[in-house]
Amino acid sequence: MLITSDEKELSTKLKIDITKIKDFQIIFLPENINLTSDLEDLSDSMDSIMLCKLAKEKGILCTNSYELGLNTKIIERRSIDIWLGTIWIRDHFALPLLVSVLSKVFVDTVQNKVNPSKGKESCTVHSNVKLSEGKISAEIDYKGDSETFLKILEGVNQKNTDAGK
Amino acid sequence: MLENSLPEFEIFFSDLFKAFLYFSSRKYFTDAEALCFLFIEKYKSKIKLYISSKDEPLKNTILVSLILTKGLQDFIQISKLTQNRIWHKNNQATEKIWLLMWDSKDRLEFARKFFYNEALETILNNLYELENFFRDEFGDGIYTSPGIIFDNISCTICNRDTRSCGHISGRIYDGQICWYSPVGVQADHLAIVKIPKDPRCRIWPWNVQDNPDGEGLKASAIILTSFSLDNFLYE
Repeated sequence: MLITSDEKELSTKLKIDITKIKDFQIIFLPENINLTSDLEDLSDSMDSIMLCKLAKEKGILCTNSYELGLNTKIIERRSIDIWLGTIWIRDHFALPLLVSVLSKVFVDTVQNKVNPSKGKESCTVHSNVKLSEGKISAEIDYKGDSETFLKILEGVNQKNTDAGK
Repeated sequence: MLENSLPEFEIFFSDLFKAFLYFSSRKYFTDAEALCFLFIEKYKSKIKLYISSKDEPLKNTILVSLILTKGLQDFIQISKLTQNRIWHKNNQATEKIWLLMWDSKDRLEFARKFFYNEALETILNNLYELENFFRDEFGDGIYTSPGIIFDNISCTICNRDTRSCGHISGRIYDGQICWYSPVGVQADHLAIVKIPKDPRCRIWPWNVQDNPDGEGLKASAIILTSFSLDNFLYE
């Protein structure tokens, strides 16, 4: 996959070897990457670490900040909200699999933790999704319900697939 | 005697489960609890012998059976405590039953994925009814929800940084449950939420009082629990 100018900028900012990212479809990065320039302050969310493992298990070519050589801290919030950190999508063909993994994560979260009497069927998702593929670049800073989040990812995939036709 | 093969162990455990149901249905709570206790003590001390064996299905079955039995033991304790019909008027008993209910439910729901049984479903339904009773009597509640920062987290299966291995927390690998063990823990913040990750961290109304030292309220509540499905194995 081609390296975009956004990715060059990112690798310079994070002081990582750009060749390390070229083979991956998705990169899971610290949640506060846009908020701090100090590498020592970067933190990965526990949910993002789990998502990366599950995505790999599903066959998505992905990596995380630790594997890229960043020495980040890990933050765990013991609430029902899901914090997915920064998700850098380099290949929209990985999106259907990512949506499938996320759907399972959201269903498990709701089934296990949300009290059914409250009639709540989705959990709140916090994430920064960045799409950087060829000449296409888009960024979504998201805080909202899980169903809409999945619809947005499906929409991004559809738009890119249509654009490629 | 230790059961040395999976079929032997399954027969042994099936008989034990039947005996548990017999005692439990007749409200012989002391006998039911003793049965669970003896099984856990026997296999907890012997589990290392199995861990060194190469029979992974046997190891996994023993681990699930231990977790199931601990869930049943928690359930029997709840049954004993709720025999008094006005248990919910006693604050201490209410808090204790709430914690036991979540421990039992988490363990039995985990075990049901491997050990489907109608009697187990009935026990779980009793726990769901108890949860509904709590909701009717005390409302949905509010909970503490801390944010915690770790320097890193190691995997209990391979001891590597969890970001560099493929093991998933809560899954069984070769007779052991994968957990993440944090290193360098710092509290970041404490939030009060309506839907927590861990319902054990409930703030009960009787533990909230006017602050005698100034404005606002003073509350005492559990902020973080060390619960894990298999923590009783290491006590």
